[in-house]
Amino acid sequence: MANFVEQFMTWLLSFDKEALILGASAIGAGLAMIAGIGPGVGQGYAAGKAAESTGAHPENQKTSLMTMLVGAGVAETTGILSLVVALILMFGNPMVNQEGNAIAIAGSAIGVGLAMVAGVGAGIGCGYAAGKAAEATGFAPENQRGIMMCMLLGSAVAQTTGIFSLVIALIFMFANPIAAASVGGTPELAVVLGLSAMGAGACMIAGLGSGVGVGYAGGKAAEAVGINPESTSKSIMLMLVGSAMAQTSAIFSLVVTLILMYANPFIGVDANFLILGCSGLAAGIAMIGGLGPGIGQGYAAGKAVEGTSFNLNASNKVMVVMILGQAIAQTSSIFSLVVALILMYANPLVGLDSSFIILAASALGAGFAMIAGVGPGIGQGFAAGKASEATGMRPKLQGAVIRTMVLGQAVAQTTGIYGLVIALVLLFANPLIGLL
Amino acid sequence: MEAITGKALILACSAVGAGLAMIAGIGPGIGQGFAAGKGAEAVGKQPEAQGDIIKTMLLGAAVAETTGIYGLVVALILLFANPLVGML
Repeated sequence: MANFVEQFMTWLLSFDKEALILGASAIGAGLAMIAGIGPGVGQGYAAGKAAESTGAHPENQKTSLMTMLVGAGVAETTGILSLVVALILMFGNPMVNQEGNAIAIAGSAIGVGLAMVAGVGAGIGCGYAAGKAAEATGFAPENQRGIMMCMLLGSAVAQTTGIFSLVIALIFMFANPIAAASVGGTPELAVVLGLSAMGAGACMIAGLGSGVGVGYAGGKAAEAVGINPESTSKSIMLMLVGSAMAQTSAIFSLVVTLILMYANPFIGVDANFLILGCSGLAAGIAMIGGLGPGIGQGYAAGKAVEGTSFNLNASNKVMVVMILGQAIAQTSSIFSLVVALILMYANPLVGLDSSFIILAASALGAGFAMIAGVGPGIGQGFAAGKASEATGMRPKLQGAVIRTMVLGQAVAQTTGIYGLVIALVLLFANPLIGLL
Repeated sequence: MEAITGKALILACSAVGAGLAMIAGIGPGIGQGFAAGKGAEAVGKQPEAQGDIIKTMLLGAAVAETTGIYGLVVALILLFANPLVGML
């Protein structure tokens, strides 16, 4: 009797190639629109802050409203990018005409939608920056120029991950390397490639974290410049250094995505195709853990800006605390990267003699377990932010503050380590195989 | 491709379930990090109370850890003492 995987594949292949791709494109278009969450939340926050500011300083209503609208306009970007991608998939679908296996191309269409979800982050982050800038221009309209500059600079950096995702989506739609790799291959290879494409898309979701975090840092810089215009240069410097750190996990994800697309390590491997395909999908899912460090490190950058604006002479001490705290907050995205690289390049499951469904599911389980890293990333970043702020207020206490921060961050790491242990057990010491 | 037995299906689903259970770790991670942040803030304001601050922080963090441990326990049971295969 054929098993359900074979039956499912036969069922998929019973459709026209076009029907399969167009169906997946419909799902991809829908997934892409999830990005709309971000601008909705962010612009709502900006509107709230502008309304609050107008209540407190009605005489500055026009300035504050103008700042809010400019910021909200920037926050709209990722929502519009997603809309454009969805409209292309619906009205000018370039994927139906791609050469290659329908299953690989259908997986790519879903990957397009998953990648665009990262736009949630830039929408929230830019909206936060717009809200803080509207508030700051309300109480200090004379500093509007510096405030707007910080807001726009922060928002531009926050947009990076949304643009990364757009680039990945456009590659899938117009120059799909996954489809090209499936030309002339078996349906089994197409499943490996299709699942890898979905993994590549899921992987990009980690960029959501950087979008939120960097936008937060931009908002805090705008606020600091409003309160104390003399802090402008130091605020911008700290914001940019901190934001660069917060981009790290998004870059890790971009690398894994590009590997899955252009140098897929599963092509030509002699093993069950479902194990290989699920490993590709799981590598992408594991990288979603990087979402946490992005948010947390951005928070730390924002709080470091705030801490420095109280006490400009403490900026070096604050930066040391910020970078130390951010480095610790990076841990979970490094764990995720390690698991993704194991799945791609040193996959222990392919050599095991057991039912293929258990091994494929173990790869997926290992990927899911790494999502736990979101929490430690956010939490440790929060600790780094509060410690940076405290160092700004009382630079003499830097040592005691760092000790408390690191101790607390170590405790916050535990659940991320639990996730890593479960993933490693599933990969290297899988007890389920013996139970069969 | 070989057939999938009922037992293999249960074990495969257990692997996915063990992975999903670990997502619970997000909560303690955020919560304990918040505690660490507030602890560092408090030490910055009142360094003389550092000992008490850390004690309170660690006690609270230990309580926040519980749900992460529940997730871990369920994952470990699914992996190492799977009760589901026995019910087949």
